[in-house]
Amino acid sequence: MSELRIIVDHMKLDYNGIMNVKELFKIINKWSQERHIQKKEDKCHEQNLPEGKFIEYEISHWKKISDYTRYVYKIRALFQELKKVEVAKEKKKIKADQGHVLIYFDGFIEHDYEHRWDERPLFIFFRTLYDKFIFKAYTERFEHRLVHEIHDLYNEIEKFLNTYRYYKVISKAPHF
Amino acid sequence: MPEENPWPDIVPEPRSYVRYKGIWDMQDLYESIADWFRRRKYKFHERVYKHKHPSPYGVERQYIWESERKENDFIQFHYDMYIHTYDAHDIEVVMPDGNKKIFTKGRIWIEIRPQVRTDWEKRWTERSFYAKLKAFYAKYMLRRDFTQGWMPKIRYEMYELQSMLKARLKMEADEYEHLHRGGVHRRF
Repeated sequence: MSELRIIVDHMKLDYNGIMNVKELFKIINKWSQERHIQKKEDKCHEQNLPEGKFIEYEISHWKKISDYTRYVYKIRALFQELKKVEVAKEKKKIKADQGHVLIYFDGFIEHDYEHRWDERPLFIFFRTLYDKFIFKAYTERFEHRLVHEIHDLYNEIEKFLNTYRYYKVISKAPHF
Repeated sequence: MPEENPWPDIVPEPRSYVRYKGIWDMQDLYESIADWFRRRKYKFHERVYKHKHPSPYGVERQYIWESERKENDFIQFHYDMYIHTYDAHDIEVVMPDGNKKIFTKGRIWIEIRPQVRTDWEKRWTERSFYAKLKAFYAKYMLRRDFTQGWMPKIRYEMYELQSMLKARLKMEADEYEHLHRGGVHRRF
């Protein structure tokens, strides 16, 4: 088995208010595309309920750093009571969504993802030795970079959600 | 333990799922999927169409579709699609232009399973020597073509299909970042 270590553990972003869900997904996808990160969609559930839309979206990104190490990013977004509303932006009416969003970010580092060093116990011992002592500086640098990249996405989403602070709701429309 | 041959006869890619509850146009969804495969020169087959006895909540239907395309004489792309609708019943909706249409209301579960099939002509399995040669060929000579060519190609194609499905279902997460990817310098 490859060694999977959690570096960013359940970083949470909680927001309640007006947003544009499509734009939010666009930001996440753009972030992964710009960094040449591969993706795997684990869940994409959407339910139209009487109180609003419920969306559960889970995505795992991964990026190979070398033939030994790769980053795994997990993003889980939960949208609740999402309704379409009309808002005024610069004296123009636009459509937006109002609801509650909860996003969890997880970051992992996977060493030896090709399973080349887990055939024998001796190999595993050498692998651990290599990671913790010989390659220590690089391992730590990889961890920093992973944390930085996840914070980058977090900041981008936070920045995006804050842009809608000053909107005023004019009228409410049914969510479907 | 590392596998002897990391590229066996059937190389599965991560599956993709869509779950939706609401109103959708089943006829449009059906036609869009068939058309998507047809435009990409896939052979499309409907293997199973199951209509279960309606319950008080609605109808349950199952669809199993398969499609395949020959990439070259060694590689074939294959898709298995499984669609299951629950509690589905027809409803009449009024379109923005005033026309009335019949849509479906209920729950839908869509599963997309892409695979890359190697040696679909079975020419490398006639003798044990050929089988070993094939393992060597796939493991060392075609390694880059798998990791950087066919696997990402089928994966992104699958996400394109998935985003198309989401768009037909009018879901919020229908964004697909590689939709307008240039195709001029594509290697595969």
